[in-house]
Amino acid sequence: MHHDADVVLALKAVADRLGAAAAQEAAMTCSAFNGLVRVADGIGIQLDEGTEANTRSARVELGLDQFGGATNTEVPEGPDVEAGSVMAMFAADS
Amino acid sequence: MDWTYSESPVAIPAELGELHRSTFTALGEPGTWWTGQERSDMVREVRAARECSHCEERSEALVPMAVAGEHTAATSLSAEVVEVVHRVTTDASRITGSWASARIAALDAAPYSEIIGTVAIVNALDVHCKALGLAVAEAPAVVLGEPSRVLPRDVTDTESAYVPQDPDHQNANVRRALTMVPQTLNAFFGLVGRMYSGAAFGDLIWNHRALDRPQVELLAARTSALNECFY
Repeated sequence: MHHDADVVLALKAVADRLGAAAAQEAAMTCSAFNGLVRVADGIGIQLDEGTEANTRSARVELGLDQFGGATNTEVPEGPDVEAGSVMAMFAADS
Repeated sequence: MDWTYSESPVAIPAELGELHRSTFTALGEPGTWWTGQERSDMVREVRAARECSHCEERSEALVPMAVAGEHTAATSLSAEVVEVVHRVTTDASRITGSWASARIAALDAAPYSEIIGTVAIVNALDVHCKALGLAVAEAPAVVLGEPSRVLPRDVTDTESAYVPQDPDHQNANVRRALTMVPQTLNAFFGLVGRMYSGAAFGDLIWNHRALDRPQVELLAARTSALNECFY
């Protein structure tokens, strides 16, 4: 468990090493994803099809399939699949 | 808390502070399914959840719902709403389909979705304050009025999430998650979109920030892993 003072010390360490703008962006990114994870788990969305197919071995290696939210996605057993659709999510916003 | 972040140890862009202020302030205004009072109370409940002994006991339990007890609520919101706000704040990764189904049966899918988006906004903004060593802002002032209660026509039960989605909404599934409540969807992604990628989400190489994209994605992945988020 980190305490608030530790977080600020870590922020200052990043600022000393990479600059204040980088530290600000790091704080901003981590904050954004503390929101995104709650939407993903609260709504129960599935892993995007291309990402699922392309990350099977990495997820096993990292133990990610043990996370509770994994039950929302049908995960076939087998090796990674080259997934052309993995880039679809990077298309322009609708 | 001053949304100009004047007390921050690192400078915060003025437009980001303004975005945070406007997004947070709007949580006190009527939403699609909840009044400004109820939405402002959800902000209070997010903060109460972090101090809630029942949430703490559940978080430490192998089976959270096996822990009997009541939340330490800070508002007069219904027990169902308090349950959703507290659970999503403190133990979102272990939410199950059966838990969500029970909450949605009690609240309906669209109001449930608005709670999820609201809780996510508050958590993102509060973590940002915490990362800067700043106190969080007081719950937003309440604006009187009625919720719009407008349900989008294009949402349907896709069986790909706990709530109906707009199947034609493009991009990653997380962008589709809140399509049942467009007001909340726009507020949430207006906020986190700016905080994550800005307008460069589709670009694999970023030159517009102090951090490059691999550095940002590493932070994103680490944050998601610490939250045990599979998605």
